Amino acid sequence: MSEQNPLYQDIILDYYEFPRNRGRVNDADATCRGHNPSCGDDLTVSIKVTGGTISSVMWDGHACAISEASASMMTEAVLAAPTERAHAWVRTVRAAITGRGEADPAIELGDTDALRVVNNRPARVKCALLAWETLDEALTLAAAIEFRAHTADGDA
Amino acid sequence: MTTTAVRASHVLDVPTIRRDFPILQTSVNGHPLVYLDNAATSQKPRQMIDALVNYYTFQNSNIHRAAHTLASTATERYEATRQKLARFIGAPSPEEVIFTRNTTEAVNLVAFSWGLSNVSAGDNIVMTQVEHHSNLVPWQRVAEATGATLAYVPIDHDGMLDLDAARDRIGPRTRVVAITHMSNVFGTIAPVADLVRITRERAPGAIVVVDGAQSAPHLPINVDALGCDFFALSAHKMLGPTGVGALWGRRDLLDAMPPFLTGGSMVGHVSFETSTWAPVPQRFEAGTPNIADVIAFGASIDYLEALGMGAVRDHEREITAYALATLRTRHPALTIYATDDTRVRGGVVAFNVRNVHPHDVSEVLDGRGIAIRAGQHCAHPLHAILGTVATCRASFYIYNLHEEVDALSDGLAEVERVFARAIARPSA
Repeated sequence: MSEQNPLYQDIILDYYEFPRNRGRVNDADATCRGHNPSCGDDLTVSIKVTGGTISSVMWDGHACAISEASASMMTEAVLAAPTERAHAWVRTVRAAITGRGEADPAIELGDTDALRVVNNRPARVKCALLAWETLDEALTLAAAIEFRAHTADGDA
Repeated sequence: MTTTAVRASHVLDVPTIRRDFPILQTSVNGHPLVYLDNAATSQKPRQMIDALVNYYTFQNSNIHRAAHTLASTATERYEATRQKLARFIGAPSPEEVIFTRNTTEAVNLVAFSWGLSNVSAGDNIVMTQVEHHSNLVPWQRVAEATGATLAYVPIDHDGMLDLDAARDRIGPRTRVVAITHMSNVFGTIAPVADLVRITRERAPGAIVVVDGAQSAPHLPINVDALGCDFFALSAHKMLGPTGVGALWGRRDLLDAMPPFLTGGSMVGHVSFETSTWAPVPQRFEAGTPNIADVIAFGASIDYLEALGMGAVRDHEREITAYALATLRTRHPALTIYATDDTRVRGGVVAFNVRNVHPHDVSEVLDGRGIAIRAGQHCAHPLHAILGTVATCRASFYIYNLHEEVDALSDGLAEVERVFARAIARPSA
C-alpha cells in the first residue's frame, strides 16, 4: 500500500529516518533540554555561536517522529545563520504551526513547511515546536552568557 | 492464525451492552469509534446519563440541610449510593465510605489526615514500583513533612511484585504500605492479601492503603477479605461520572482521624473560637458535595452489579487473552510488557513498536478511529526502570469486542507499513 498517511508524509518520514545533525556540539555555548511531560518527548539542543552566527547546532534525545523530524529540520535551517535570523526562523515556524504571532517574510520555510500538518492537531503542536522552542532558549542562554562575559571583560 | 480463540464472549452479552452506550454508536475520523482507553476513563451507559439528567431536572436540591421534600429526596438518593458502594466493595458499613473527587483526593485524605498525625521522623513508608503518581506523590509529601523515609517493592520480569523484597522492606518502623491493586500500566494484580499479611507480621503499627482505581471497575472487590485499612477508587473509571471518587477506611481508624478539608457540613458545634467535628463520614465531606454525580454513580453501580463483577472479570480475561495472542502472533516487532497469565492480570496491555514512539503509534490508530493511550500514564518512575520513554496502552472493558482487537491489529499493521524503515533499523 503506497498511499501516504496524512500526517506521516514522506518528507517527515525522511527526516525522521535519516536524522540530520544528531548529537551534541563539542564546546557548546549553550545546551538546553526540552521536554513534553505528557508524551515523553525529550530533546536536547546544543549550539555554538561564533561572531554572532550559529557555527554549530545539534539535537539529541528521543521523541516522536514529528518532534525528531522537526529537530533535524531546525538544525538544517539555522546552521550558519546569524542569531537574528535564527530568531526569525523560530517566529516564522511558530506562526506557521500555531497561526499565532508574525512570520518573517524573509524566511522561506522549504521542507519545514511540511510541519504545517499538525495545524489541526492540537496534541501534536507541542511536538512540532519542541526543538524550535528549545533552540529559542539556547539562543537566549548563549546571548546571556556572552553578555556576562563581555561585561566581565569590560569590568576587568 | 488466531481462530482458535472464541469469537464472542460467553459471559457477557456484549452487543446488547453496547446499545446502552451512546458514544459507541459514534464515529471518529470517519471510522466507528474503537475505544480502548478504558484505564484512563470508561464510557458511560445511558442509565447513568439519565440518572444525572433526571436529578437536575426533577430532584435538584442540597443535601443534609433543609427539611423540604426535594432536599430529603436528594439526601436519600445520595446516601443510597453510599450504601450501594459499601455493598459493592464489601465494606462492613456505609459510614466507612467517604465521597471524594477522585482516587487522588482519597489518597491525599489518608496521607494528610492519618499520615501527618501518625508518621514521624525515622519511620518508613513502603510503596511499589508500579504506583500511579496518585498513590506515590502524596506519600513523598508526607515523608518530606515528617522526615520519614521511602522504600519501594520492586517488580520482577513479569511485572509482578517481589514478595521477598517486600518482606525485606517492611519492618517495625514501617507506618504506611501503599499498594496499587492493579497496575494502570501493566494490568498486573498485586497480591494485596499477602502484602497485608506480611505487613501485620512485620509492622503491626502500619496501615495498608490500596489504590483501587484500576481494580474496582474490573475485579470483584471485598475490602474485608483483602484485609487492608483503606481503599480508594474513582467513579469515572467504572461507568460513572467524573468528579466522584471514594475512600473506604476502617471505622476505628476513621473515627480517630482529624479532618482533611474543613468548613460547612463537617462540624459538630462551631463557636467564634473553636469547632468540633461531625462523626464520619460527614467529617470528611466538607462543603456541598458533588450530589448529582454521586447519585448518577449509583446507576453505574447498579449496572455493574446487574452484569455481575465475576462475569466482568471473566469477559476481560477472555478478551485480554485474545488480544495478547493476536498481538504476539501478528506483530513480532512489538514488545509487550508483563506476564501473559490472565489469572494475575486485568484487561490492560502495554506495548511498544520497535523504534516507533508511542505517540506516533497512537496517531496512526486515531486516524482509524481507535483510541489508545500513549505516554507515561502517570507512572514516570516505572518508565525509567523499563528503560523506555513511554509506552502504548490498550485497555478493555465490558463493551469491547474481539473485532475491536482485530481493528487494533489492523491499525498496528498500518503503523508497521508507515514506519517500515524505522522498524527495520537496529534498535536505537
